[in-house]
Amino acid sequence: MKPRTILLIAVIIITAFVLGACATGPRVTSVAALAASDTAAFVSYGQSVIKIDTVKDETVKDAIWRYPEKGSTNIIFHATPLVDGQRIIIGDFANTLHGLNESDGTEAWRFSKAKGWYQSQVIKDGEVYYVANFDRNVYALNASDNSLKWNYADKFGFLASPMVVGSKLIVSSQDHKVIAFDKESGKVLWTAQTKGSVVSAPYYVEATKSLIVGDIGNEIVWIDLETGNVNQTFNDNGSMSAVWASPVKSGEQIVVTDDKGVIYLFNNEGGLVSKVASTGPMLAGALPVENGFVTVTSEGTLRFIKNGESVASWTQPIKGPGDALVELNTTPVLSGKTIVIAGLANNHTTLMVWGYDLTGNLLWSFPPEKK
Amino acid sequence: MWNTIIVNPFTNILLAITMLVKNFGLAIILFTLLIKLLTWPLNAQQIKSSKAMQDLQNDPKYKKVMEKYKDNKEMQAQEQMRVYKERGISPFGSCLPTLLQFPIIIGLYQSIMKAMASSPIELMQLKNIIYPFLNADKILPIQHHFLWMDLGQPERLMVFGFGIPILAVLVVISQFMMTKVMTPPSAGGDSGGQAAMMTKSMNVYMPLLMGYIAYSWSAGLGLYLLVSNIFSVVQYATMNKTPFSAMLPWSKAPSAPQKPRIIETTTGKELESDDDEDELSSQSISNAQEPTLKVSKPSARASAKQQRPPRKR
Repeated sequence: MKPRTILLIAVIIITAFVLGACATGPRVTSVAALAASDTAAFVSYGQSVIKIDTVKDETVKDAIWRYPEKGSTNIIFHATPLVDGQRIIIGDFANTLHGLNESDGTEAWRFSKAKGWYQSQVIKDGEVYYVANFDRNVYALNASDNSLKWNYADKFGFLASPMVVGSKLIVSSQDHKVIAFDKESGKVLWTAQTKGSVVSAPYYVEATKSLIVGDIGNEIVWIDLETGNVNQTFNDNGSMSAVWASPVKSGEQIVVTDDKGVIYLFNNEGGLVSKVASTGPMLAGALPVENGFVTVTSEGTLRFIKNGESVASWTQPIKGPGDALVELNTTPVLSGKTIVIAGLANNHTTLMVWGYDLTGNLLWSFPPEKK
Repeated sequence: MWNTIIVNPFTNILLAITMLVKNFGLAIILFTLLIKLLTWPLNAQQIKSSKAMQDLQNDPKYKKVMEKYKDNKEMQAQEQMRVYKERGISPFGSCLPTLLQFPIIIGLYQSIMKAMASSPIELMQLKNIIYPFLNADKILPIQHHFLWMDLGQPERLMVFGFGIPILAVLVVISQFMMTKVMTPPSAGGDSGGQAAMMTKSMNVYMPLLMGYIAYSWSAGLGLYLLVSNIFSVVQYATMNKTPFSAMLPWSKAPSAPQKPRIIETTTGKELESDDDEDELSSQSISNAQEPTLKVSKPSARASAKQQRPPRKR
């Protein structure tokens, strides 16, 4: 081999190492993700996951813990955490699933076999964790030792969280379909086609044994749980927009939000009960609370709508520091009797979290002001 | 405004190509080639200017003039400008086309990044800019898988458990070749001077910077950088009939110094030897290659001078 060839190979190898040493993390625009227990909220955004106490009587909150303690550009979080007793399970964009101790945020275990980003929430059923990954795989892990139980590979990355109904695992796919697996073996039972990509989990309607899910092809479909047949579709005579969030049940009605901000209320049988007019674009889903549900708009409004009504009982504009505009694209969660919402201010650089009571009064906010 | 005029149309063209060829990686390659073909005249202008500058810097007579006035920067600059003018070289000839291409390059990069929507919010942003006649439902989602790469994520080829950044390395090499041939030599021909040092540094740091981007950003962007670099190098080689071996890292400058060709000058006199320095400072100097050569018409004074017998040495 000529010396020049050897030199070139050496340069290439050195270059690869130099590049490897100074690599930064993935570049993606995403939203904050929220989960809560009765006493705490867990928020993932950017370089860390934080725990915030929701019970203590204080108006400004600080993080109880932060994982990792020192943020790294190589590890970023946008997936919704799962609160599993004394464990917080969350995947990152460095292809790792972490099991954290709920009390102090230290890492108890990790699963590193996936090759893509975790963008959705892990779910737990019995002693198995199910998680969908952007590497086009659905993974089933044994909760006892986080070993791989089975995995299923598809053609497109998954963005939606799985859900379990009886013996079936249901996963929405970007590839215009919803897939049902046998949750024990991972065998595909049926596939239901949709018009557009499905990026959120369905809601299971027990009364009709059907799954209701919206897609970004501007429609909602009802799928028979047993057969996978699409029983019904709804697009509001073509005026409906894309659905990015999972439907929820509030009282006797099923609530679906589209990205124009229109809220559709259906009965169990799939009949449209009423529509709530838009007050702004909406990516987040609704949160059922006592006697109604709350929603947030991308433009920074929190509102409460009573069951059976189609106008808001109360509305709260949400502002960032110095009255900065705040984007609210995260579905709110309930921690005890506190509505927890998360938003991004200052062009996605500042994460903010607020706690409201059920009548719309601000209880606390995060982060504390810089001293 | 920027998005409406540049990024959104680019993104839609990219998506339309994706629909046609059913492969996003191939669409990035074709779209990059399309943009490079459309900007061929600008690139050609840049290459010509760059080549003319290189030829000038390699000209021994020009070097001598610069050397002669090395202690008089003002005079050196005057001489430099005069030679530029006589040879029809614009000092900004290689910068201006680059500047004009900048919005296109940035738009191209942004459209690729936009089309590789990887999160729900990016998917929503992409869906909202797709033109109605393209039918977003059919286009989305975009298949990110291309060869061994996931175009939405930094590229690694796994070999025995090690992730090797093949694309980043190829970007470094191609960028090195491109920078080497496209960077105009430092003005004044001071090979050891500050400007020359800067040029040398650029030849090293630009490839590393681009390699770093290809390493840590999504593979789709790395693919664009690679195709774009290769196209530029091929264009340079085609236009200047330069063998690729001359662009490799260990080779010397791609345009090797050539024998000064005897040409017409404003005085109509031929340059014969290095001893003609005195005349050189007041007349055109030899040119190495034809593309940028401008031969001035002999002036009345020059014509009169031409009639005189040659000076004795």
